[in-house]
Amino acid sequence: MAELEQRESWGSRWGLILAAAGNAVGIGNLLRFPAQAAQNGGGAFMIPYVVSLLLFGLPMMWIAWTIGRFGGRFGHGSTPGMFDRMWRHPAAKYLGVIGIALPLLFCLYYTYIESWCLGYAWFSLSGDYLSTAGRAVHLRTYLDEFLGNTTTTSYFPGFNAAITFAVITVLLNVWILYRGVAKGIELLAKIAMPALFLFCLVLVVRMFTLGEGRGSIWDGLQFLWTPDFGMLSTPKVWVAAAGQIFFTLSVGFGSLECYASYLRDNDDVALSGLTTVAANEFVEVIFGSLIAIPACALFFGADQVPEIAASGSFSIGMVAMPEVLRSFPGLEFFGTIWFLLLFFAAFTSSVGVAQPVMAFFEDEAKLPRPAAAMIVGLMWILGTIPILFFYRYGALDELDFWAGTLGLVVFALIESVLFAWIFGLRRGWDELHLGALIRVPRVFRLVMKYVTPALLAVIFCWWFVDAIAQDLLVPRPRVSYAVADVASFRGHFARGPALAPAEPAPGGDARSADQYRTAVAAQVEAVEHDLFGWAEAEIAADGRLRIRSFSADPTLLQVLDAAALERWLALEGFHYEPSDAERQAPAGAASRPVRLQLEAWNRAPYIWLVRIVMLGVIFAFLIIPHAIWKRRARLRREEIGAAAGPAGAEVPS
Amino acid sequence: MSGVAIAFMLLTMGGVLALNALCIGLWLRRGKAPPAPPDSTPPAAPPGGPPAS
Repeated sequence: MAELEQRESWGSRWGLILAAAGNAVGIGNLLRFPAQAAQNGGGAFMIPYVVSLLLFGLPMMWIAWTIGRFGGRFGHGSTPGMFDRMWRHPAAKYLGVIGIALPLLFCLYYTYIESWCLGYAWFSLSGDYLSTAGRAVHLRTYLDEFLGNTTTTSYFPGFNAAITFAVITVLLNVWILYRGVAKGIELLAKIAMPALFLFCLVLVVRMFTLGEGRGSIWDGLQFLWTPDFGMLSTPKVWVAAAGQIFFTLSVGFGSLECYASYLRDNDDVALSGLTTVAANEFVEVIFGSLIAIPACALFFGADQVPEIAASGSFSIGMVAMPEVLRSFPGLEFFGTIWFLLLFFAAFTSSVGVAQPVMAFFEDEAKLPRPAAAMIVGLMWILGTIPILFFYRYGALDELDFWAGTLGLVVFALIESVLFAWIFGLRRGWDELHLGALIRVPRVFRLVMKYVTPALLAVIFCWWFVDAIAQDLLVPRPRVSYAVADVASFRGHFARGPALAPAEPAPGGDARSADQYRTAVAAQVEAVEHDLFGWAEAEIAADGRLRIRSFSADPTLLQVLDAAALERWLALEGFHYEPSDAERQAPAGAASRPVRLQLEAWNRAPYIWLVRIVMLGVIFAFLIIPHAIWKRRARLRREEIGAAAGPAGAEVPS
Repeated sequence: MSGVAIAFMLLTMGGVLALNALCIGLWLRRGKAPPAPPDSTPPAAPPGGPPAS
């Protein structure tokens, strides 16, 4: 009982709601949602989206809150202890271990993404990515160099800046965790969430008062909301909507359970869960659809929006949006607001996801909070370093796939089955309504018991089979090329429709673009290390690159020479789009020398390393709790033995 | 913007706003009720006996 009284608690109900909403609201609300909606039927996407929300988003939210408060009653803030109380089986707490290993793995890469937002907020404030007379900033290359995704050094000499911001971000997170639930997480939510709403409002007002560029705000809204009902017959759209609901509500992390564990017995969880969903949807549907896509439509024009939407969340947030924001007055203010908005959204989520790990060390290992924070911080820093250094090999995507995608669905599936089938739906339902301020419609009993687990199983199978079909499980080399001196060009290097390459001589090189890539990748796999090549080229009058010389690793030269590289680039439509000033100049940009860098990364060893680290973390989290629980069981037996008398009564196991 | 797109947008955003208004209303209405007394009773025994070790 004494240890139960020592557990922390929330300072206020609104603090808890804001913290839970902050946990759910993340970068995905503002970037992933509009991209998904735009690619999956526009307005019609909202039909599977709402259906998914009702069939497993909302039920999982209630399940998480209910499990959390139930476990908290017995002094457990993480799922191993909670599951152990729900299911009297030795395997229960080991299944619960997934609920602390996955959040930790998720935090390792999510904090890195979070740190990009912090870094870009600083770069916006300092005007670092504004083009000047002697330095043209191309935002795609700028991002790649910031992250160390390429070896070119036009804007960043290395990725020291990325490391600095990542370390600052991890330390900020650990500091919040160290301060505890009420003085750390709750206080952060009370500051960050209103700030997030305010920033969203400021940006929406700004976007709607920018006037017109190549397009208008309304073009973006038209693109985003025009329903394409034909898409509803595609299963992919339904899975995409279900996935969006799953990610946006942050179910399957164990964090909502942890937050709910600090509630009192009679505190409501039903209305709290519903309010968390409502606040999350407010940010996602309203602000998520009113900022990024409309802004891109205004600046780039309606015809460019589909391509931007398809380029992915990070491309929208870190490349397209800065391009829009720096093109209008006030980058230092509005750019900083945009990236602080993303940072706060991510910050409130990452502390929430990490809290179950803290709670585990505090509640199960009985460590004082400073010691728990130190251990979590150490694991966090050590785990983030490989992500930083191996980002170019796809370490982040690998973790995201296993831990942040498949792992979460598996854990949510376990949780829903445990709640509805093992703990028992009747008991679960009663637990949900203990102290509830609303009655949940009874139809959700059926949904929780049958529909939610079935849907989660379908999503898991779909994603796993899709990954196999796309050959994502076998790490292939990544082949790319970049212009080394891009900062000296005012125009853009871009890919487009294939340019007509020189016809190969009879019996000559007639490979396709894919075959060039495959050939380079095969060489990397043969020698098992990275391969590089450097080309001196010049820009032709039609924008294509004429390769003058090509030097490279001899292994690479076996499959590629200057003529082959030029042909490959033409097949991929790689060309230079001159700036307006260059178009008007008599000579334009033609005949200007260009240095091109070919990079082929040997991903396999790093991807396998990441997989081994993932298994290691899971294994460690099985071993550590096992040792803790064994010790506690031994102590309990000794206490019982001592109480039974010196004769040594039989000790129950 | 086409009428269908506007209709879809307003319908969805209206639904989200209504859900938020409902939640706020429920909190305000329930907030007038006296708060639950602090939980001073010891936690109930784990269901069905002690946890498995």
